[in-house]
Amino acid sequence: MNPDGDRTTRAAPKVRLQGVSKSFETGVGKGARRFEAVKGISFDVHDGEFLALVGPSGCGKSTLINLIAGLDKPDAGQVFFEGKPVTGAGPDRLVIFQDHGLFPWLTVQKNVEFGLRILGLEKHERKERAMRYLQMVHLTKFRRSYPFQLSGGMKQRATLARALAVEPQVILMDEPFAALDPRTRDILQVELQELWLQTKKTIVFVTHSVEEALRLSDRIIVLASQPGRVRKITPVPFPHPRDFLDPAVAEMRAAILKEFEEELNILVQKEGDDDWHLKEGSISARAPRGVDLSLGDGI
Amino acid sequence: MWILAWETVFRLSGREAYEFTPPGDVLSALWSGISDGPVHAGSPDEARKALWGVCGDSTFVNAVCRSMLRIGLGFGVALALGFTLGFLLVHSRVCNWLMGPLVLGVQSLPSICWMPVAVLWFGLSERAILFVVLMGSLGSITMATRDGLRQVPVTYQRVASTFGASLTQRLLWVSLPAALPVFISGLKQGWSFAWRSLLAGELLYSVAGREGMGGLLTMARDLADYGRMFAAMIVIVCISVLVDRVIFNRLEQHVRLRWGLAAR
Repeated sequence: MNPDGDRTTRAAPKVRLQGVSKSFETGVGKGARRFEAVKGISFDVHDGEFLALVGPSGCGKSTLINLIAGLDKPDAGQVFFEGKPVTGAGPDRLVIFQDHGLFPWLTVQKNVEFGLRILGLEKHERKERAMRYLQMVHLTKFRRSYPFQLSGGMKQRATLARALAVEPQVILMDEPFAALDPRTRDILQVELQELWLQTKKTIVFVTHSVEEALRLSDRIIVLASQPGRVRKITPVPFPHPRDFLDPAVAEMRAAILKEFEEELNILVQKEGDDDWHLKEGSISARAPRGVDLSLGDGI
Repeated sequence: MWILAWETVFRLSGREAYEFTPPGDVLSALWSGISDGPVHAGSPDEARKALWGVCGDSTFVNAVCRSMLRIGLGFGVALALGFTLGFLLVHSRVCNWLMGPLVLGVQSLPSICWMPVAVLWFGLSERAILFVVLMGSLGSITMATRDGLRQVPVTYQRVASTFGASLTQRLLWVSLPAALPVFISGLKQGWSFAWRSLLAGELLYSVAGREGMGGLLTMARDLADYGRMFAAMIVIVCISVLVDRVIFNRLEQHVRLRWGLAAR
């Protein structure tokens, strides 16, 4: 068995990143400079796999999601989907954003039908499919509500139903639960896991939280930041649901956390040297917990 | 309450009615303005027929209809033009560079300043007034369209793209509805500019026999008919309140609530 798990030997990877680099302009006018979001990243995502990308802010997690989705084009390297180069966005690789992006002028059901309308499905077919997936995320009762009437957790569930309804090959989740309170987050993690075990979709899941990654995923990629690179790939061989009290799980958690913390420290030093928008003193106050450092999640 | 106070002040001041109007005159003018025409108002046997007569022939109703028709036309054209312009400003850099400052300038110019030009171009005609109404509301509508489209959250566009939406689908199903709240606020502003422009235009150049509400005011001035003047003003206020507060505010409120923008 190779370190990626046994699936690689059987099928071609669902998604393959090959030496992918991407940089952005930051700032405006004369103050503008190039910022390398990701540099030379290569990894595969296997069919039916739940892959977690973990790393501090500014390590290019969101950039990777956008590149796989085809919302952005890499400066160098290539992204492959089912062996073909990615040229644009499409409903086979669906993104779930942190700020849900439900359309406020549509009811929950109409939101779920949005993608189906684009696919050109008949009305009754749309309704039938929407209901099926709303049921899957336990939102049938709220199908006629508008997004502002939903709680944060329900909004994310609606987004999930909207994504699942078009039956994508890959679901790309960009910190989907980051804005939720811990309790809701817990519930949604369990639900997502059940959905995944049911549908066996390929999922790429970006998160700040090592625990979340360890709980849900088959493999965890820890990213190094500025520029974003692959630091370490760890397969998670434990069966679901995972027990954090199990010594083996706990050990893995400690090991990944250590990688993560080291990465954070490097980042903090770099930020200090660079004199990014942080004021003196606030670095040490903010850094150890791994909260957002300057560059934010848009990158 | 205020009407009583008004009447009292009138009685105490001891002035003649042509110097200072008592509310009674205004009310009777209001009534006669609404009910005059070929039908004798108040005569009981014709009361039923009068209902149609009032709508069809009374000076006020006629004037209101004519004014509403003018503003409807002018505002309608402004809507179509303003929307197209605003759309171009967002989607074409050249257009934005060429016309952005121009639109701002035009919007800053009180629209009645177009009246002299309009009269030279179109003569003393309906079209002159329509033109002033158009210029009055065009700026607001253009700006509203532009700002509305510009503030559409990037996430919505990305969501639409990730579902594989075409350019037209993104525009029709995402950008337009997302821009609606800002657009409606702009419509409201455009309407009130159009309304002011219309009245100013009608006041300055009322075409005899085809008076709108502004024309009625001018006519009442010429005849020193205070009652009718105030009556016309009351009607104007009523229309403003009806359209602005009732129609547009409700629409705006409804959309803001639905879009989840209202303070909760």
